[in-house]
Amino acid sequence: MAAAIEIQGLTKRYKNPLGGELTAVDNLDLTVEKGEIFGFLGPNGAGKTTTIKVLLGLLFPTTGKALVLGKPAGDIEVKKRIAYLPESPYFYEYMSAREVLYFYADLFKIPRSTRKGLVDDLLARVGMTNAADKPLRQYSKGMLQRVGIAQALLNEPELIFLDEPTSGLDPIAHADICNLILDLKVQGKTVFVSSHQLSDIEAIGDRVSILVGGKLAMQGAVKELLTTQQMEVIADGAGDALVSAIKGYVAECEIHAGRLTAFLETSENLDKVVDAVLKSDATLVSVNPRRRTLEKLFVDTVRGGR
Amino acid sequence: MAIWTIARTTVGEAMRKKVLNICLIVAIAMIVISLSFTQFSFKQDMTIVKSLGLFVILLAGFVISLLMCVSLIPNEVERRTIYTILAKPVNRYEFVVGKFLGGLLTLAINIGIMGAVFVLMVTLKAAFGTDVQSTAGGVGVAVEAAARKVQAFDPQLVLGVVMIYFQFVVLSAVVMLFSVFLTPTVNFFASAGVYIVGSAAGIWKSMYVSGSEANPVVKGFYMLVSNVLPNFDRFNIQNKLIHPVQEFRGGPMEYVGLTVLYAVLYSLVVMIAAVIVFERKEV
Repeated sequence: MAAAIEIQGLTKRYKNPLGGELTAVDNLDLTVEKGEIFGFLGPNGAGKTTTIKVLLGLLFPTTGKALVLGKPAGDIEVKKRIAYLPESPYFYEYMSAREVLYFYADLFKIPRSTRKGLVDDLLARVGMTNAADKPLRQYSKGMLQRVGIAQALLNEPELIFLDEPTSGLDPIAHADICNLILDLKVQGKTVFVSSHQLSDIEAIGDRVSILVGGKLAMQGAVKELLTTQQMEVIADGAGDALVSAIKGYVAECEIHAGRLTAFLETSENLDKVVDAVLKSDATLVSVNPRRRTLEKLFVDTVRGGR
Repeated sequence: MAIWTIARTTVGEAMRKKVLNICLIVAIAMIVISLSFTQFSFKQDMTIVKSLGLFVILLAGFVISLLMCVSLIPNEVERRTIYTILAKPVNRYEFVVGKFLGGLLTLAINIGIMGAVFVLMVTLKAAFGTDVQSTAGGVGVAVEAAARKVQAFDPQLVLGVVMIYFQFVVLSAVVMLFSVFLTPTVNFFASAGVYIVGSAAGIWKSMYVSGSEANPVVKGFYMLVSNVLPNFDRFNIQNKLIHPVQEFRGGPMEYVGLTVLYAVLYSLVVMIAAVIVFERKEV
């Protein structure tokens, strides 16, 4: 079974009108499997949007190959099976949400007999039924984003590109869109999300890649990337005597208002630390593997990559 | 189908553009105001009304086609609406042709409205206008009234409006081609330049045909300009319509038919070039 996206040696250079070139994407290799939520991360100017535009056929690669659903990027047959939500989507402002969806439905050649029912369903799904006939110029950013999501679902796509789908949204809209992305995964669809909302990707993403300066700096499954060998021990009612007792076994140790938080690089000395806590007057609260956050991984990767 | 969907949306958007609406309203106002000319003889008044009306339609058509077409594609890129459209199963040629046809439909609506008002005004003037000189003298009023009934509606004026429309079909195609690779401001001046130079095509042609002793480079330049750039001079039949002494070669219908064919073929070639360029354009 072909991957949803296969990128091999993709390089995209822009010519500067005053001479010289800017390399936006540099020899990128990337594979996105079908049915996964793939987080495409990177700081501003890392080449994320350029890569998405190449995959959609809006830009052409300077060198390299990009396949979408097994066919070259931009192929008209592929476009029937994919969807795209750009960052801050803009539509014709004089239209209403319903008219916008009719417009895109016509581009998909969806028969008029089924168009109305489909549009009504989508409007309900993104919570826009009540405002469906108001002109878009009266919409908030969140409402426009919902319309953008609805237009992206018109063709029941197999693969959906979302560029910053939750940026600037209020918490309700934010949660709704995260839930919708999870629903899409449950339906077996592949979701390719470019986002700066790292907590979202950490919560819903299966795999991520981090792009730095147009190059792939890190790639892998979210769970694997964020899991470490480190252990965390927390105890209440701890004193300096306990700190002294465990100091030789832990990497970091701190006390705030009687709560001890100790980190161990590995679980090798864990039993010694736990013994020391139990023998002291302190109460053991928890012992957990320490998990990195995606934000920490991102910052470390980007700073290391620069 | 995508072409028609895009064309329809282009019309919907263009018809809501305030600057184009203002052009239309001012043009209609000028055509209507021209009815009030009663300073000269009836014949002179009619000449002024016809000349002014056709000139106003020409000027408004020029401004509308240029202002509208210059931004049809760049606006889509700037507002990023093009991304969601081209991410759908829409061929690039469908997008360009759809935008062009939408522009032509908008132009047809605008020129059609101005033309209808113009023909109506001329007809009203012819039927009910007052001749200051003849009423003052009280001579020949009955004869003139009879003549007016015959000439009240002049179908040749419609040909004049049709010719104005088709020259802006050609101009719109040129603007669309330029809009694929030029910024709107540069495009505005480049297209206006093509229109001005193309309107003098007759002059360039006479210069390379008659100037046998001229420098071959200069002759070559004139030949290039008169043959490659659109010949807008060919559409200029106002004088022949207003002063019927100047006759059309082969009759007005044949002349107009051939000129319309020229407009369609020229626009087709230019649009093929626009599509070829847009196929490789990055957005």
